[in-house]
Amino acid sequence: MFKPETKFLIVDDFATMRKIVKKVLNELGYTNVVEADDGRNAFATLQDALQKNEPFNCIISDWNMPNMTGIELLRQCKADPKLSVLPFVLVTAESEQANIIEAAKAGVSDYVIKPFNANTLKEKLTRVYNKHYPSQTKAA
Amino acid sequence: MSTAKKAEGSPAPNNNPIFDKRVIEAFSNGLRETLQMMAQVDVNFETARIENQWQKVGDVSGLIEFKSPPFAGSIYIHLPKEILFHVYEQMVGEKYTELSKDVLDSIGEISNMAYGVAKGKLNPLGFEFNMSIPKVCLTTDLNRVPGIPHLLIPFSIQGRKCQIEILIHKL
Repeated sequence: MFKPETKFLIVDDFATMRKIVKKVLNELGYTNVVEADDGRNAFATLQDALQKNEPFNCIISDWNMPNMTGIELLRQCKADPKLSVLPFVLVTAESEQANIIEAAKAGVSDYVIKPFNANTLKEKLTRVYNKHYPSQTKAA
Repeated sequence: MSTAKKAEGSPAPNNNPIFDKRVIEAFSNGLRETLQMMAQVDVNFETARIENQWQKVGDVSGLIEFKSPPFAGSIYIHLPKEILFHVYEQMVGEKYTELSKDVLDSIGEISNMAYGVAKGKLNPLGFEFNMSIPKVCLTTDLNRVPGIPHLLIPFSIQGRKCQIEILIHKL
């Protein structure tokens, strides 16, 4: 699982969902959590963090947002060499097969369908960590 | 939704693709699943009906506007504010007794999730509900043109009257 000091970026246009995800992360012991209300602000936050040499370690983003959607943010991250390897989880109400395939093709690390509970998010984060850091997983 | 003709099963009454048993079940189940999963809140649904007049129910409303030529419409979820305070506390862990931007925001996210569940069930049947960004408003700010049919799905939470309302703007 991600280390306690992991820096998360939560992206959602609804403050309620940001709070719910943050609450789950806090319950899991993660306190280094930053929020953004759309993809555009999220990308600016990611770039700013890189410039300050305080990069994020994981993005948890909604799909359907104004200005820049979650899938657009994912594609922008994948196109940026400094962000392309960053774990990216989509938490979205878009549950259709076509959406899941589109996200997989864009390189999403995992996909959480709303509504969800804390256990589901925890399981997905564990899976994402194992996928991105298989050597640490084996060592543990 | 280029919907009714493509959707499997019997055609909807009034040739209106939304006034369909599958739509009623999908939205009812979508809201039930959302509130149960996110807030551990139980919902009791009553029989859905079509009416040409709308009586205001609740204080706060979440709105999803959907478009898919030749149809367009709106789906509202209306709740009393006390019920929203309870749901919000269950979901977020913060207690409110007065409406605030944060609490009002939550009915948008609830509507978004309920719509997402319903859309996921209906579109494989041939419906074409699109992706839409939800809005929130005070129910008292809503006005309706008389004579337009509304699909009303009444429900209650902790004995308080609530409602899903579906309107078709164009046919």
